[in-house]
Amino acid sequence: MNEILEKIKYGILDLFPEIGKVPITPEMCLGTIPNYDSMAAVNLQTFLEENFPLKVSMDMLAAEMPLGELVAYIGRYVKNRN
Amino acid sequence: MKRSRILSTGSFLPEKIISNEDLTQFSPEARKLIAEKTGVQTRRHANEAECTSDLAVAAARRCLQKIAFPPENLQGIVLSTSSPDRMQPATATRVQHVLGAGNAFAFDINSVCSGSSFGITVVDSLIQSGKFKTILLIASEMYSKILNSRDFSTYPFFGDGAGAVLFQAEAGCSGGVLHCCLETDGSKNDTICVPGGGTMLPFEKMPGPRSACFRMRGEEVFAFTMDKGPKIIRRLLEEAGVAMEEVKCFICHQANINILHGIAGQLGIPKERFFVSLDRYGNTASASVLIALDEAISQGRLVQGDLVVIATFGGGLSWGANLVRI
Repeated sequence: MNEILEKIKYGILDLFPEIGKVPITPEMCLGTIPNYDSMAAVNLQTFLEENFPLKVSMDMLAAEMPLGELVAYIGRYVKNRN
Repeated sequence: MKRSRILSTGSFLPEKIISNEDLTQFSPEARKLIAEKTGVQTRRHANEAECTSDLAVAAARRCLQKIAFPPENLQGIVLSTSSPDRMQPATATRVQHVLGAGNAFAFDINSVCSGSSFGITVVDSLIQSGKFKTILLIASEMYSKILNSRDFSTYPFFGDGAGAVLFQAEAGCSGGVLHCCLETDGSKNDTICVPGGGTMLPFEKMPGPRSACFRMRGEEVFAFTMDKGPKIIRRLLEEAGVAMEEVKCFICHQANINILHGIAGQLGIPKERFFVSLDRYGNTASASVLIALDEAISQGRLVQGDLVVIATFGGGLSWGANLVRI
């Protein structure tokens, strides 16, 4: 699970450099990423689908979604697939 | 009184058409959002080997050939671009050479998407100065090569293209450039930018190649255009003493259909009087209004004697408007 979180952290820092030094934690909601809107959500979706073997619906990337829940969803998907 | 009269217009769009469905790097769900959010259905992309000056030359040739105007008779070329061939020299210099306009001075201006309004104003001022009679204004952009192809907030919305307008000094005519307004808010210079590759963030210090890609904060840009667009059109017409009803066609920067409809709504003008080409070409940055002007004239939507308002907004933040009688 930590590996998934680390990978997503890297993606968030790369996609949204304006996040600066704000700590990226499992409790953080996606909407706290500066300028997070539907366009930014698609960028995160593209990153996730390129880095994990799954399809992520836009509902999973809503502003209210805690990062930890997204990590858990990906974790479950990856585990079931293995 | 001497006026800067439009002698001819031209435009050029690359052949390759990219539809929303072709953008397979984004999910099908996301691809549906493109038309919904902006009205863009297709855009044109230049080939690998082409550069901005190639599009500029093609648009310029079409403009000059329409009236069999010899390029060597040009006294000046002003090129608006925010996606130049190279950091230096000015892209206009290669255009001058390839076009065969050896007697013309040539320089670039960069006011991002509002570059054509600034360009019309600069060309009109040079002609009004009495020092020059015939100047070609070109706006040419190739955003497909300065965008991050995985950035959904920019890549789907832009396209490549170029437009050109030949201006000539003419005494005692009622047509031409009647009035111009330009404004800038430099405190928002980060809202639309290419962060890397300049002196602020040199190539050697860039964290990665994406730093040299175009970025914009879409929601801020939307709010800015909805605020400034109607205001500058009102200011332009008030200062020129022209009523909104007298204007045949409004050619605004082709960024987003919702912006065009929003401006029309705020001004109380039927949206049918706003020219639209962004559905086919996407946002071609500073070239968008010159391409649209050429199409409006070619389609007979604008004929001699008609009044047209050109209004633009873009990085800087900057915005401008021009009142022109065809």
